[in-house]
Amino acid sequence: MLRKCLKYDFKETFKLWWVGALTTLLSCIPMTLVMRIMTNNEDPSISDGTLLAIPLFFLVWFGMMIGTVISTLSVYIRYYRHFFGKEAYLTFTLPVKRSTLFTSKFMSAMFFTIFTYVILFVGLFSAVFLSEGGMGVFEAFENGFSSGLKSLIPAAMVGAVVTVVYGIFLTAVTAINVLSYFLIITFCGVYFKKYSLLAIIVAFYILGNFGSFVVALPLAGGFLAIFGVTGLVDANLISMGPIQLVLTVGAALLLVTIALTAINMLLAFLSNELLERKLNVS
Amino acid sequence: MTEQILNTEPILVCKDLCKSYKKNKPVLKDFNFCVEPGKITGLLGPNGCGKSTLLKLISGILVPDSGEILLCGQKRSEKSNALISYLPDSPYFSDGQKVENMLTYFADFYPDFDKTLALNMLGDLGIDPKARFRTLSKGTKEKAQLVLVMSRKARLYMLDEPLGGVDPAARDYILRTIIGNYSPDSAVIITTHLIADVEPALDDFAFMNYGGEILLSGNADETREEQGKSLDTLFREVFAC
Amino acid sequence: MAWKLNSDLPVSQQLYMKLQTDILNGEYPPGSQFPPVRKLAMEASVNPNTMQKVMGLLEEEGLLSCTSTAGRFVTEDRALLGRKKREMQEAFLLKALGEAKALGIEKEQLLDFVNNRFDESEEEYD
Repeated sequence: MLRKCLKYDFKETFKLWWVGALTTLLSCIPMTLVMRIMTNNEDPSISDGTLLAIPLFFLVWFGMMIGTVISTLSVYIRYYRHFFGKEAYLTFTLPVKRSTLFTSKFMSAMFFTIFTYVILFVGLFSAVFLSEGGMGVFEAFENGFSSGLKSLIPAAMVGAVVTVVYGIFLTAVTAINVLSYFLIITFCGVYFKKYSLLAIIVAFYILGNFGSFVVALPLAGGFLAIFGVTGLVDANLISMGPIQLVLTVGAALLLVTIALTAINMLLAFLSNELLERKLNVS
Repeated sequence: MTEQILNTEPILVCKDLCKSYKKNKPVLKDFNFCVEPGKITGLLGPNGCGKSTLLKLISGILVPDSGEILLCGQKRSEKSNALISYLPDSPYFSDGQKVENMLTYFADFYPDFDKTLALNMLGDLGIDPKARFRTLSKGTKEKAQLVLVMSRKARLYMLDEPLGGVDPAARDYILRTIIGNYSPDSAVIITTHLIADVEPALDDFAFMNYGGEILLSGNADETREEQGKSLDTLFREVFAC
Repeated sequence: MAWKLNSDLPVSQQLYMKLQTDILNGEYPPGSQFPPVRKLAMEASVNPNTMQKVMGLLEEEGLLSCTSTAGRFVTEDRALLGRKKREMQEAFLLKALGEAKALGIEKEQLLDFVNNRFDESEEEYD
């Protein structure tokens, strides 16, 4: 049953998501022009190129923002519609557990949210990469990075460990994001009935404006953990082997991740309880 | 020759059901109801007496405050939904969907869904499977919804006002479909205001008042014989303002 | 189209009368296969259990016979059919006679009427 739910959740979410994703990708194209202009000017502050670069940059920024917002929202629109819209009759008369329906929503939400950021990254990266000026920037970055670390440990090992640990950490942060928004929608849907949509928009707006603290806080927590650890061992940085350093940082991140996972489970549990016991579809 | 019913266990049992939307305003109070297989039962009552609420409780859309619902002897759960085919009183389709997509959706989640039958019925009613729901009139949407519900081989069919927004020719078709779908293993509950249209098709009936109070119930034909009048006339007398 | 049924009277009675009349008038010839319960119920827009009951009554009367495999058949007992038809006709005539008397129609008047008007075609009856 979960697979069937996933099939439909993916299909329906994709219908709106692809619009945002395409917008994001397309708006990264002007970035190549921007890079070209920026790297070709000797004195960026006065030349004509700058005058052109600034609006182009805004175009990129605007397009990316709209695209990302649409992509991100597509997931929540699907959640709301399926549980609280007209379709709710259909949804809750299916021979499927409510927790299964929720799990399916969560899994597809994670996929599309992460993929939204992948698209963002790919768009920006290829735009930077594809411009001549961008190549120079990239080479400079690569040289600086590798010269610093080449002397410490094999680059591949660093890349692998950092990617895995940070990847797990980011997944937990994304999950907090998704689950807290799910909980907001569920709560408003159950207790605000007619005005649920209004309440959700208000709640999302507030959270969005205050820098999405549900993302910022855990991220900050993660970085604080890293800084705290590196700060503590600052004096012994040289004497501590590079492998040990990486492992210590990794461990700190994992601890934060475990805490985040506990919070995620609580958020998911709350949403499920509301769906199971308190939801009166009218 | 009467067909042997192997299983005479009631399909639906409601025990002391209570449900209220606001405090001190119960929609259903200690409601008890029972439906046997092979029967078409009419649940007749004024607007707001709790008929729709009852069907929503049985189908799992609402959760009762207290009391028990048993489907084929089992406590109501999401598994019961596989046995129930429920038609709510208003359409629930998302506008952008195509009719045939709904057929696929039903076929996916309900093993007892007969896609061929559904397509035939849509053809009979002149509904294009490739049409999107937003292009259909309200009456057509309701017909489409009924097709989906009746194309399943469920144990319990619950039809909330199936004849409401539909023209008389379609009403005949709908009634004939309900009758034609009859099986001694399954039961049908119909709620309606249009008692006169539905009367001849009913086995049993129940007059339901506010709070879920059952004023009169029994076999339709026997009651007509005893009372010497139609259920429609009887209803007007019982519920006279 | 649903059969015209008056809901103020028990449906089973009306169904029984209609089916009995149809059989005796030859709509369902002797020995022919009788339609199954569900088909007739759908045609009449009545409850299948009610239709089942009516068919059971027709069986009791001997108008229908039921085999375990091939369904129901109209009886081939023409003597029975003839007798039942006469009974039905007499019942109707008795009823008509009673209503005629209630309207104050005299015997002579009735006999004259029948003698003069019986051979007219049915369209002129209205």
